[in-house]
Amino acid sequence: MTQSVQTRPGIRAPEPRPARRLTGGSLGSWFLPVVAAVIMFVVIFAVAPAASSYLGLSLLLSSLLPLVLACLAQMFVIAAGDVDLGIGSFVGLVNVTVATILPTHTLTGILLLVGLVVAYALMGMLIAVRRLPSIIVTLGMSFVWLGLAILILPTPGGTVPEGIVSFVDWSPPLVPGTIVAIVVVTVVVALFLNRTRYGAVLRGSGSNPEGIRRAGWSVVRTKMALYGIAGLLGVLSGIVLSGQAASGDPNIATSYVLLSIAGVIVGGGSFRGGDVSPVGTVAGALVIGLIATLLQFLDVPSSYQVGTQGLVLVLILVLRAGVTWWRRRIETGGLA
Amino acid sequence: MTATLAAPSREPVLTKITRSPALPAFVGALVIWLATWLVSGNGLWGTLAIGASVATYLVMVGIGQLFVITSGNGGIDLSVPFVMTISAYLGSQVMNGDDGNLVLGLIVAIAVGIGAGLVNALLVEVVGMPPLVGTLAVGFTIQTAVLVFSSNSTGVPSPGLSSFVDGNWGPFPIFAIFGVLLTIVFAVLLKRTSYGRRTEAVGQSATAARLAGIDPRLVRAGAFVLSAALAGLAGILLAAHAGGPSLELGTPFQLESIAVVVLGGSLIAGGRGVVPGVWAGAMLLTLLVTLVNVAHVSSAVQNIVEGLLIVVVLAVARNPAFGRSWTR
Repeated sequence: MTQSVQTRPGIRAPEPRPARRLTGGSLGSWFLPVVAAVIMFVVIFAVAPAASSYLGLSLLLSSLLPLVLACLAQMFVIAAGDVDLGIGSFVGLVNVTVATILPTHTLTGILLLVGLVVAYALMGMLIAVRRLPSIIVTLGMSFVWLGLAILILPTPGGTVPEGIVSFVDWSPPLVPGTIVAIVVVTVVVALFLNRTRYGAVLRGSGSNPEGIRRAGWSVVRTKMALYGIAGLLGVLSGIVLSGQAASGDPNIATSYVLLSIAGVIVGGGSFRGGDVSPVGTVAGALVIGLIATLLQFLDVPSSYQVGTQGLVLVLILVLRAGVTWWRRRIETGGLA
Repeated sequence: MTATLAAPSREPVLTKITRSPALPAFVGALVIWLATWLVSGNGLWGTLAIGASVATYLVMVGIGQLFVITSGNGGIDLSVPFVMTISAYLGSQVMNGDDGNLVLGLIVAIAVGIGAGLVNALLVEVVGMPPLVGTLAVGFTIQTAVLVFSSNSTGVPSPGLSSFVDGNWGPFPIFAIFGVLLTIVFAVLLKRTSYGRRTEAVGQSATAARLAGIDPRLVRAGAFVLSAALAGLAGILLAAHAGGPSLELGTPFQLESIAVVVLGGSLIAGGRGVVPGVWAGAMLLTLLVTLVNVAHVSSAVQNIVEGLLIVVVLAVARNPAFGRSWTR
């Protein structure tokens, strides 16, 4: 469903939609991915009952938190109508920075991380001003991030500061810390994107940039904001990942490129721009991450896992194309 | 008055050259050629000959990528490196170091490419996946197949193929000549044949092309198959050059195949392909890698330079036409 901005003057309201059928349209694009995530949890608990304990759940989810954050980062870029092929190397660069520069030169490390967020916003500015294809700019920049990471740390190593490790390991009573973190992040992002005025403008700039421009907003600035937020979430993802890995590796997150796109798409987002769902994206990230976990539980060799995830992504997209086709057939049939 | 009369009715050759979208790539390649010559001491001709020989692999996959990009609709083929690697493994396995199996091995390598290209085309044109996701997913699936297959693979390409890619014909490396010929053939194919013009027409406006009786989906599907077939051939040839397949064989070509299209002055939104630009772009990148190697700069710096080069060339290119109508 297209969530275009309808509140500001200057944008024509879309024509009223035809009444929806029982095909899930009225439930919002987040509904199916949430169901899928719940099913994945049930399957995991059935395969490995120990995973439902406090410790099991904590271990299970803590490995998913960085991916959830990376998927949300990707979501903001996809909301801009773009795609980010550099997020994997970017998270790797953050990881290396946290593991090597932060322990010895804390201030330099923090400035560098802030600089990375600014660099992402500037990348968005460049893409908006020169109307460049995001795929190629972010792919080119992914080599820059990777090069910088290798420059800082040629071989895996380094030590992540103790504070970050223990912060990531935070275990409050009753509910594992990672569940708290995932819920808080989801609620904050969802409220911001769906319930604030600027969130609506940001989504609108992806689906209808001309409308947003005529309503008096700068499309360049909205793209900078979207990329800046993506950079911030990427840095957070890198910090959490560092806390779990405890050391640095430039190639630690290369799989995040495909996985993050998959998470957003599985989560009900589309490449049209502006059409994303934070709750769906988090659910999509959990589904994608849990598939990997399930493959591990089922003793699938690690060399098969990348391909299996690729296949699952293809399957889900084929399925969705089928559902869309079916829904459209029913709708047009109902109208005729 | 006389001046107006004397002015030639056709565009002068010099203007044609200075207005060519491929000019920056040629100038860049020339500059880096001279710089490499100064640093390496390999001789002016030697530097060029080796460069043109090694660049041919990139020319091949770049041309395939160019057809996919030129046919528009956000077309891009990210499965290139994985197709190269799997073709290298399967082709080598069939050849098994024997010249008698050379042709069969080449056919297998190309057939694997065509198969992957058909799957790409199916996912993008029939299922309706974005090319980016479809080709990447296919790529990762192939990568897994490679990992499984490579663990008990022992085949090597035939010596005949190795002497083709590494041999010399007088002062000229055979493979460099092959690369130039390939460039000419595909330049003619794109600009002078009905197929090539259909490809550009679909990239400029799929709707207009359809009204003119062209099936845009068929043209775009053909581009995916061509790209993967060329990647398959390049993969086995590269394996012959390297003395055998390896897991990382195709890796650099994902970014570089796109980079040479961008550097060569083709429109990234589709609709205008510049095949000679691909050759110049491939020369530029290959000589740049040589320069970086002889200058003893780390691979990290090489990554940064390559990445920035692409972004900067895109940013300063005269046609930031992505997302606009290309005629504007």
